[in-house]
Amino acid sequence: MQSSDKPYRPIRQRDISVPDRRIKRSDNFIFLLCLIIAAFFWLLIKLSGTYTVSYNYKIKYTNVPSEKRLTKIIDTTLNISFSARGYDILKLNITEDMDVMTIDLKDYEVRKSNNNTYYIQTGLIREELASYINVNESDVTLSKNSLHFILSDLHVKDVAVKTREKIGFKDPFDLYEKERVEPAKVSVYGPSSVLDTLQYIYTEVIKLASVDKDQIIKTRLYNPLPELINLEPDEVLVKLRIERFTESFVETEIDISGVPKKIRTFPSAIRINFKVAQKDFSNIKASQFRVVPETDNIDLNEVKRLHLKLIEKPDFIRDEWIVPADVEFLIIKK
Amino acid sequence: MIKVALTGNIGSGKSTVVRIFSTLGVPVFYADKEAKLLYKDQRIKKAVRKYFGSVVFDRKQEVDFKKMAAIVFNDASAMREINKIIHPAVFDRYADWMEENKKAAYTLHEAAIVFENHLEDHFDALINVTAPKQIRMERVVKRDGINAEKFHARAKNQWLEEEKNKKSDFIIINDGKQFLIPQILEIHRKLLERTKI
Repeated sequence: MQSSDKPYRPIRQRDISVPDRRIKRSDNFIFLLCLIIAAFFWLLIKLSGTYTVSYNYKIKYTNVPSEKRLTKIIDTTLNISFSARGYDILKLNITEDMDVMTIDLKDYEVRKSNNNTYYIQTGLIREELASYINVNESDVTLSKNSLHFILSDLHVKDVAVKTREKIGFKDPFDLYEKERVEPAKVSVYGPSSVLDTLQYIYTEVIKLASVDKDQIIKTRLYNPLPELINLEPDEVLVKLRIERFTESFVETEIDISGVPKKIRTFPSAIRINFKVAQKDFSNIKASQFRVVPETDNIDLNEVKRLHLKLIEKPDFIRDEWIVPADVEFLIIKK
Repeated sequence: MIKVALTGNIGSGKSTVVRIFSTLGVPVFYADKEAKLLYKDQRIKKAVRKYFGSVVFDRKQEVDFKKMAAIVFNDASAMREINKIIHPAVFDRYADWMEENKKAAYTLHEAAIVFENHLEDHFDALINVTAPKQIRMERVVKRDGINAEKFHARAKNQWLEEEKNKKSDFIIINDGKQFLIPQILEIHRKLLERTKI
């Protein structure tokens, strides 16, 4: 009856391997868990031990007295050695920057050494560190007992602002006059050694494209030494006057009246090409231009051509060039 | 006395070259300028009107050179006809002028077209001022405010530079790179030497 209810089916290999593999996976997990637990206990044991370590910090200061500027750090590094429990060393490594030590000068008594050289005692550093890592101060060894730096008195100087700009104009527009900066000068606060060499303060680069009308741009000033100087204000207005320009030219005789010898140039008249705002076009007259040959330090008997230079021109033209730029000449002997 | 013709294609820079010769004391007969003056002569006007009609005259009944140029630079037969009218008269003037300057070692006759009108036999020496066509075109476009097309229309009535150079005794290269004055001084020296022979 049994055999008639359940047809015979041979037991295949796959059927018996499934539970075996489960058992195997479970063994691996238990082994890994034990390993982790063992490692954890090993770590706890290790961290409870005492170790001697040494760190070399770069020194950085904050909160420099408001009437002074930090101009140089003399003692740039500080080496700290101490013995502490592994737990405390780990905590220190996790919570603190182990490369740079930032010292807040508000918390220290800044003492004067000589002239502009000042220093702080490193005792407080030792004290704070010892407290943080739960050791006696005597267990902390610092490479220096004091850290020296130079603080300069803060001075003020009014410095002219120059613009930096990359402006693309829509044809035929161009800048009509030199850009105006408001305010034209800013107050720069800093040590006199820096202020003495500071000629200009530049704006951040103003980038404009396809400009075809007047512009007023608020721009930040570029502080070349932010750690040494402050700018007041640190923003300015740059005003650009844009006009429609055209190319034009005038023809004028070369003025040879100042040439030391009597000469005749060939050609005697030249053309001056230039760009001019359309609003000024009708104001151009050839008499506003004066072109002379360059004869300074030139032996007229030795050269065959003279270079021409434009010495008088209206203020409102630009991009001018002379055609031809050089002329041949004959010395007239009478 | 040596009669020297100085010619060169449009934009070659003849005027500058002539000014240098003039500065050296050489008398210069400006044939093209003389021709323009002759157009004010009633006999010339009558001849021009007979051929072209009144279309080349302005309101003041003077010859309008722009209108004239528009016709002759595009019509070879019109060019020949105007040359037939004007050149004999110009040469009459030249003869008178030569009489006034007979003491000079040599004289210059400056004209844009010498070979084209077969006038070369009238002279003892020929100077051609030459420059690359591109440079000549740039000069004329700037100087006269015309476009390249008009330049080519004017230039096509003139001989090629190479042909003129072959038939010339002296060539002055005025390409803006080579010095003009040394070239001219050399020609001046050679012409003066010829007069001594």
